[in-house]
Amino acid sequence: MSVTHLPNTHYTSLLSAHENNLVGQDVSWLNSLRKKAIEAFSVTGFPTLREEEWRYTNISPIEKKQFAVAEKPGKLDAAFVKAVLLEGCYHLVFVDGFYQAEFSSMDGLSAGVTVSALSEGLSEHESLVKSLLDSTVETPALGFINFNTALFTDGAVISIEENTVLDKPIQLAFISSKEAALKLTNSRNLVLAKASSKASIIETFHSVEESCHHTNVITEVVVEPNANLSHNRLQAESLKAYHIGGVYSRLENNAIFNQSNYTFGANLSRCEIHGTLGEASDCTLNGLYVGQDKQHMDNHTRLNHAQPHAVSNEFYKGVLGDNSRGVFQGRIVVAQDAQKTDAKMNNRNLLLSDRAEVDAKPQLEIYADDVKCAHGVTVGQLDETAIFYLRSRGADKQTAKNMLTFAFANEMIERIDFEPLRMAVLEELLKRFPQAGMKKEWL
Amino acid sequence: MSASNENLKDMIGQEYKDGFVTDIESESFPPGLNEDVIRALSAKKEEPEFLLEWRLEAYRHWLTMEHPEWSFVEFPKIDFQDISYYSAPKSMDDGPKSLDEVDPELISTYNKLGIPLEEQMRLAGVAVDAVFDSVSVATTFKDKLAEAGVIFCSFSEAVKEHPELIKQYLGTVVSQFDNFYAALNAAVFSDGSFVYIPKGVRCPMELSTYFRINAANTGQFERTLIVADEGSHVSYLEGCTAPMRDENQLHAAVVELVILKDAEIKYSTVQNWYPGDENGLGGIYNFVTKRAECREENAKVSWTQVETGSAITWKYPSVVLKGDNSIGEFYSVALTNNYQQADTGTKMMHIGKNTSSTIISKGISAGHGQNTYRGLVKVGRNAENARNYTQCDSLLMGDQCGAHTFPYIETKHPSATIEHEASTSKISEDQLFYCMQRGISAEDAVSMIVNGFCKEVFKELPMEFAVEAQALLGISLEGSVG
Repeated sequence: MSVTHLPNTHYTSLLSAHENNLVGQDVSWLNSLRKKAIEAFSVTGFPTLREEEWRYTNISPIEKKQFAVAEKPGKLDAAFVKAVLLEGCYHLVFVDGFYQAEFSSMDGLSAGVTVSALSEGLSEHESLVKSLLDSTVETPALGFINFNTALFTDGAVISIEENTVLDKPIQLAFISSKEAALKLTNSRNLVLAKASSKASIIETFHSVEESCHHTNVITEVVVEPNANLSHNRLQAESLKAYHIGGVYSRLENNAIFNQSNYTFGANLSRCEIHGTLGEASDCTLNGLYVGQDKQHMDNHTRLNHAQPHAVSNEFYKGVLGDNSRGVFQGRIVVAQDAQKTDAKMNNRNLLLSDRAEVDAKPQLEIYADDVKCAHGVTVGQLDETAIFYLRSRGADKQTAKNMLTFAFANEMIERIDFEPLRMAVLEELLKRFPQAGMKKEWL
Repeated sequence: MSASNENLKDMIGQEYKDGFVTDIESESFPPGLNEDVIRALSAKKEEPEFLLEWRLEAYRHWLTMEHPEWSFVEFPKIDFQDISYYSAPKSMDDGPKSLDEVDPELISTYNKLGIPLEEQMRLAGVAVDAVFDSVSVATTFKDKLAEAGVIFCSFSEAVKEHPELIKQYLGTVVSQFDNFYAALNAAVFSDGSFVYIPKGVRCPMELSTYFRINAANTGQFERTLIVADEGSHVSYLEGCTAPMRDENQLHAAVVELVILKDAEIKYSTVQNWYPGDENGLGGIYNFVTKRAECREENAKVSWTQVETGSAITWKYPSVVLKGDNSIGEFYSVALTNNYQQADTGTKMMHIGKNTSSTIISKGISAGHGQNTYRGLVKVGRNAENARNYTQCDSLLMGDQCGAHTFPYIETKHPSATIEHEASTSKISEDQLFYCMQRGISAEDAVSMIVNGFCKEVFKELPMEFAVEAQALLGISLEGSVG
């Protein structure tokens, strides 16, 4: 009685219609890669609820909305861009999936660092792009990955030379303009941290207005031996948007990778954070998702301990109010050779409303015997005794609850070292709780 | 026919070759499954019309179903047309005449478990005559139970004696359309147990299939139905405490528990079916659907299972917490050695208010064993103040085995408090060293540490079971310490 899922004809037709309209159309290897992705997507289409990895996230609205491809960047107000850009960073700004040089600045970038938009630097950095593109996403590739490969219009390519320490973080700001309404944008970022280098990258996602648009962005990351890369993601798109994101990384021996993922926006969002861990590498994943209204937030992490002595530490927190629904699916796979693995996964959820829902699926798949693996999940509400304590000190009930909710979420925000980003994330959190009576200075 | 198919035929259809003489051709149906087989089966068991209809409905639905593929176990495709769905009970005369004829390996296992000689004979299916006093013991029990009003009999007997109870409760927890194997079981189940505890009765003794199974020799598709009426209490023990070499290799049973207001059922299983040899050949496929429904307020159910046998164990004893204040508990030890595979766990469905559940699962993997915990904790929209605590620990012994944890947590109520913890580790060198420097052999030390690891579950088992479970673990782990 199996129902064969037919790929949405609207999206398959988009693929062929835009075939000749994308970045790198004159590059033959890229064209054949895109062709392969188109063929694969034409067979599978987007994932459905019947697939185990997608059982809690129904993406059929994306199919129904039939988004058109954004073909050129919309107009932007300089003030809006300024508000989005973080101080003390190098900036690359993408509007509706297209690089905008006028808003970007990379002044003072040191010699050992390559930062470029694909649309500008593809020919100059072709071999770098070729070595990174499609190198960390796993097979069998998911529908959204193929879709992205087939249709990405732009993105950043970043390479940090050996023994180079980047002085400031690089911010990749993705902004959806007014014109992006009912359009979809596909971006692809490629990051290479060469041996013994150190860098920090921040991706931010904003919408100019509360419009319905679809963002599909994939970042591929390679961290070479002894390199140290930090990657942060702040997603604060419109509450009507559909956001599908992915960070696919490969950690080589002794590499360090810190990934933080802050989700506030989008009607439906799904973020895949995948990593393959080399020998004695160290991977930290932090996440916070704050849902309200009818938001659906899916966080999907997968860490593949392929080699011995690697350490991973994962901590995700969710705060879910109104009709929102949070999903946390985490999977740790420890291969047979990956002895002395130390993996921890932790997920805590706070439900604020009786219509909110949370689904957690933390998984361990272990084939090696000399390992330490643990995971924990909690779902709960605010501690009555803690509320009582605050009320006994004069806070009214709502304030007490808000303070505790903040404290719960703030634990994840405090982990951000880079002050401008911490403030930006905090601001997003405060925006979600205007009634809270909490001041930024308190936190 | 391909080689793999041939193998499969051996695995599924084969009769246990050591000892048992069981071929009473005329009393068995030829392999195959269709409506006529079900009609014939039903006629043979002299079942009322409603039950036949029920079976046929299940069968027709089963035909439309696909074999589930989501589990973490691997086995060749089963040809359901290659199984005989009715095999007449062995008559005592056909069994081995004395213990001398029984496989000596079996006997040595019995001795290790400390099973008395008469019981050994019974377990091995040795024909015994009146000397065997357990028979009279069983009868005494029957009188005592009848006095309390407890009904405890085989399923076929219950169908004849108490059709109204069967009609009322059968399939109300696990419907005949529930899943692939439950539907198959509903269509072809041969026998099973039926227990009814009347209002306010505390069953005077622990009930065990052990006494009945030899009398009726239930087949591969058994069905157990236990109903605990208001305010009653029963402790039920299932399974065999020794390697009972069942000649049928596919075991697809269904267990339904109905718990009414203020009642309590404690269901303990020690499962030690034939696990296959050390190369992973043969062994039972244990695909069982077990579910309890706390139908009314203050109902309580507790599943305790010790799984050391079977080539593949694929089951999830579940609890539907429908009544307010109802309680579900699940305690499990699953051990996989050699090429055994286990995908087991539980489901706790919180529906009523103030319901609580506890899950303690201990998985041990050795050799090439693959051990998976898969569990669901679901808190519905109206399940105010639901509470769950889950702990699943895995112990790995050897570098060829695997331990996996796949919990699912779905919460739709803010007042729910859910905690889930899982850990995976191996026996530490320090612990081993500590035991061995006190003169305990490596094997005994491992057995001791493993028993300590499982203690939380064993303490839930009735006394005799706990002792045997511990011994069983030791035996199952033999040779796994390198």
